[in-house]
Amino acid sequence: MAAAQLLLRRCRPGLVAILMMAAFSVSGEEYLGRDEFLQLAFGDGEPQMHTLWLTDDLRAAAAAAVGWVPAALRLRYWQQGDSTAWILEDIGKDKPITLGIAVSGQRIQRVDVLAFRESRGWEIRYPFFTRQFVGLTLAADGYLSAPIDGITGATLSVRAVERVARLAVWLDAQVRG
Amino acid sequence: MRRYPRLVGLLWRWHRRAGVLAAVFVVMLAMSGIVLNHSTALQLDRRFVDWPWLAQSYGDPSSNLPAIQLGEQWLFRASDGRVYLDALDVAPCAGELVGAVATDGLLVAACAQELLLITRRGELVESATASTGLPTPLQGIGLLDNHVALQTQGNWRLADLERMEFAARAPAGGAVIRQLVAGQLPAAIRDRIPAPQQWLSWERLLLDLHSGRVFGPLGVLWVDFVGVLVASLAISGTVMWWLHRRRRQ
Repeated sequence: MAAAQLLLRRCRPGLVAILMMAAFSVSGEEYLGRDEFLQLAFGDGEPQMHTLWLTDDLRAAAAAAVGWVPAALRLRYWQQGDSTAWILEDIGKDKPITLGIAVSGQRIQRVDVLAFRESRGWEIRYPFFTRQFVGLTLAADGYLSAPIDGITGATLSVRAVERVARLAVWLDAQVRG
Repeated sequence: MRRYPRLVGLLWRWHRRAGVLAAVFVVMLAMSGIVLNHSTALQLDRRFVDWPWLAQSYGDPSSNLPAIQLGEQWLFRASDGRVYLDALDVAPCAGELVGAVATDGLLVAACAQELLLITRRGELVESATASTGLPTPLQGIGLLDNHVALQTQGNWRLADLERMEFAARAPAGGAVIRQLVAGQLPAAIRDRIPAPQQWLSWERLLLDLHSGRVFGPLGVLWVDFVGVLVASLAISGTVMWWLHRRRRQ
C-alpha cells in the first residue's frame, strides 16, 4: 500500500501531463467560439445579427464573382457600422473548416479559424498565416488584392481559407449595398 | 558479483522471448508507419479498398445505422458521415445521428456535434456547430409545444433556430418533449442511396492498422502492449549491455 502511494506520488506530474494531453486532444478541434470571435472582431461593440438568404440569383452572382458558394441556403452575419463579420464553412480536403472573417470598408480586418476538423493543415490557424489577409480587398478578377503564401502540406486548407475570405468580402459588399 | 551472470541470463531469456513476440508487430508498425509518411505522395487517400467484407466490419452495410421517419420521408446518416433525406445526399453531419424532428416546414437533424436545418426538398438551410454556439455533444432532439428542444449533458434546452440561441432551459415538470424513435431504413430507399463504397481509403485502413483500431478496442490495447514490449526491450538491452561491460572490466 505504501509502495503504491509512493509510486502515485512520484508519477503524479506525469499523470497530470497525460490527463492534460487527453483533455486537449478531445477539445482540440474547436479553437474559438462564436462569441469570442465577435468580441475580437467588434471589441466591446454590440453588433446586430442578420441573416442572408442565398437566393438562386445571389448564388449565381457569387459563383461568377468569386467562383464558390457555400452549400447552405442561409448565412448569418453580424454588422456594426460599416463592419461585418461572417462565420462560414468550407471543406478543405474531407471535413469542414469553420472560419470567422471580419470585413470593414471592404477590407479584411481579421481571419480566425474557429474549428478545424481535418487531420492535416491545422497550421492555417496561426497568426503567421491569417495576418496575411489583413487589409486585403477583392480585386476585379475575383481574387484577393495580394497573393497569399501557402503552407507546405496544407494546400487544400489554405485554398479553403482564401475562397471563404473572397466570398466574405463579396458578401460584405452585397449586404452594405 | 555472482548475481550479475544470473541476472544477465534471466534478462537474456526474457529479452529473446519478448523480441520474438514483438518482431512481427514491430515490422508491421514500421512498414505501415513508413508508408503513411508518404501517403499523400502515394495518393493513398484517394485510392479505395474494394473489399466488401472489410467495409462491412467498419459498419457497412448502412442498414444497421439508425434512420428517422419524418412523415413520409426518412432521414438517415450513412457510415461515411453524410446525411441523406430518402436517397438524396444533403450534407455531412459531425457525430452520430441522435435524432430528428420536423417543424415549421423544416427538418432538423441532430448529430452529436452538429445540427442541420433541411428543407423538405433536401436542401441544407443552415448548420450549427459548437463554433456557432451549439451546446455539444447532443444526446437527443424533440419537440416541446412545437419548439425544438435539444438534450445535452442530460438537460433539455430550447433551441431558437431563427437566432441560433440555445441557452434557454426547457421548463421542468409536466412538460412533455416528444421524440421520434429511430427505425430501420426501408430497403427500397437504402438501395437507391449511392452506396458510399468509396469511403474506405487505403490511408484510413493503414492508419487503423497502425493504431490497431482495425481490430477494435482490443487491437488498440494490443498495439499499446507492443509499444510497452518494445520499450522494455530497449531497457533490458541497455541493462544487459551495461552488466556485460561491467563484467568485462
